[in-house]
Amino acid sequence: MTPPFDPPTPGPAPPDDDQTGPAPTGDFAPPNPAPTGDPAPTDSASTSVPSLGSPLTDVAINETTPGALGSDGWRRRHPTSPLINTIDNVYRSIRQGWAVIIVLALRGPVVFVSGVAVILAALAAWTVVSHLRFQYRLVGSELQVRSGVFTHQTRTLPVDRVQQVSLNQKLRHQVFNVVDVGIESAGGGDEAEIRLSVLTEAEAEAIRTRLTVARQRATPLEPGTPLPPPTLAVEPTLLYQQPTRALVKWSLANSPFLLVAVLAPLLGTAGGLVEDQIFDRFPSSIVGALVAIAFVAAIVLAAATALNVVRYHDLRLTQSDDELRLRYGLFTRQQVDVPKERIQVLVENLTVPGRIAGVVGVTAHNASGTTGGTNTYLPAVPQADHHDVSDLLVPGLALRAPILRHPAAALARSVIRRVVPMAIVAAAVIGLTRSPWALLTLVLPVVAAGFGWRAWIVLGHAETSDVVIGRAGVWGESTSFVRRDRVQSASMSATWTQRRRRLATLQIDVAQPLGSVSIIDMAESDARRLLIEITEPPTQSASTDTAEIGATSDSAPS
Amino acid sequence: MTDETLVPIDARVRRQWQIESILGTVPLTIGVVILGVVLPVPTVLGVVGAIAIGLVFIVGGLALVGVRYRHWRYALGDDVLVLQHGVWQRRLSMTPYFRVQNVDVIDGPLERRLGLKRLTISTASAATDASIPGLDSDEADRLRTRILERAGRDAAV
Repeated sequence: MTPPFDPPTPGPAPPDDDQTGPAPTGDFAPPNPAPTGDPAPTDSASTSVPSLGSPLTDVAINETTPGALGSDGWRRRHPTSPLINTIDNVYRSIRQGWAVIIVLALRGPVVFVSGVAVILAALAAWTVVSHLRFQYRLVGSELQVRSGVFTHQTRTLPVDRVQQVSLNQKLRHQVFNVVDVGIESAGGGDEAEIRLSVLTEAEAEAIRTRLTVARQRATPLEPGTPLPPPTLAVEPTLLYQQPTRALVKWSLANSPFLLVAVLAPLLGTAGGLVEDQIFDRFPSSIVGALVAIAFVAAIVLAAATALNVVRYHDLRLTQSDDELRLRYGLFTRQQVDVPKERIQVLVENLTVPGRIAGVVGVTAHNASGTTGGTNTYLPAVPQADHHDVSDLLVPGLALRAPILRHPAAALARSVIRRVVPMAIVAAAVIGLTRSPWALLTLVLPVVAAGFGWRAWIVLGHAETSDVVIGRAGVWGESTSFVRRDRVQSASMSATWTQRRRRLATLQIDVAQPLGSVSIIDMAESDARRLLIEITEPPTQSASTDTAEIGATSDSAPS
Repeated sequence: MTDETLVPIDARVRRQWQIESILGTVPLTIGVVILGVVLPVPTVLGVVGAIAIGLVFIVGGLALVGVRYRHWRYALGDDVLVLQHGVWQRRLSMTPYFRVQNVDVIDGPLERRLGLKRLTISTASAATDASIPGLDSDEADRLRTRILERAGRDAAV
């Protein structure tokens, strides 16, 4: 998105209907200061964000003003919303209803054109009516949305439950300078809790800021404590910028077509040797076939790489106040805003391609229900930087305890678990075929033993005062950092084979779509001690509502 | 949390599990009987075999009930709910009260007849393992009150 903090000009103002209260004009109209029972002085808060002259501000700050809860303050989305949402709907209809289109096409051009026209008109009409019905407003510490054509629905989201705000800007949005805003609370499905599609950039920015301010004010303050200084209008600080080189290397290594590109010349050689007729049209020499195949492979590889590079182009992590913001993308621009204290688990993923490219993928999971790609995900952090980058997301990860390997009994179990099935397969093949070639299958258990050994090397855990760390994998490795103060519950389990070896699996449950992080084959005594430790309630905690997800203990300024 | 403080669940749950176990084998037994009829084996042999297999499942299931019951323990600690259960895979779960989002007390038709209830506490994590079957009705209600009291007390700190 263009300059991060544009002075939000009151853009093409959406038609505001039935205004009875203070009219939200472009100018900042000071609200009636009536701070009844509100520990945060309303007027100081309203002066704190004077630059946000967006119409939204009035209503939002006017939270204690009588009348603000009336019908006023409801706003529509940007006027281009019906157009853009129709485009979205057409895409979706084509994806889901392609069979209908084929049927129409088979009935001849007249039926096809008129059918498509009718469908398009219906979609457009529906979108326009939905748009007119869709209204939203921010009142006090609540975001409210009225929607629905036949079934009317009003959804209210308390702002202190917001887990993340994501702004998505595809090319069609960029044409009109608008963004698609997704606001998510904990739990829920794959869809954002509240989706505002579409708003002007300035309006989206204003909402984001208002949500942050409202949430800060929602966190209880000691009586008499002045409101935290308004830092929101300040340019966000750049925490990290993903080097393009690392991204390109990662994309290249990660491309599934890399294998094809490597193998294709070999296959080409084989193909060329048998004078396959496929190559008849090409230069009949082997070299010519090789060049042709390598050329195609290179194009495919370049395209696959380019897709990733375009998707995660210019990824930056910035911070303003306690909000982290991740932005990336060349054509489709994504912005994900996550309050830092919402992060539950951080995962560092070192894949095999990542190893080749020398990069680590870092994901910070919050409690929002979206399992798709809108979590805080940095695909290609150079290995040299990744401790520092993780530390930005979950403080305390720069200097980390060394990972401890699990007992030798875990090695035995790791190897046996993998060798036994392979040994059975080998024995079965040898027994059934009785061919000397079947003896080759004896390689399987040996390879399996190698995997078992390697898995044990990677397996391990560590603990600090802030996090419990678990690592697992075979050739790649995934390291999870669970914040102790975010543990919901935990359990240890041991199968019969584990009990015999005094091993146990520790499962740490967190409020996050993955549900839990498991550390397998710990020494039984370690698992038991950690289990008790991490499920202890915080001692002399100053937090007021630790039971709520993420809404913890940040009341006391540190 | 030492093992001594853990208490067993109500013995009547064995009856519940036995009935559930028998009901659970019914579709399986029917399946085996159909197989016995369909497969090219003498009908008598098929039926006898099917009944034998069904019996094995029923007896096995009933035998497991006792073992399962013996391994079920729970404790209402000062700060955490502790569960211990499982036969092949034994699990020790701890759920601190201050994370409790809600407490459910459920009794199905079978449980009502036996005067039992089951209690489930939920946290913000879907993976939390905190469901106690086979509690005496009054005990279940009492536990719920105690858990909610503690959850509330900590939240109020």
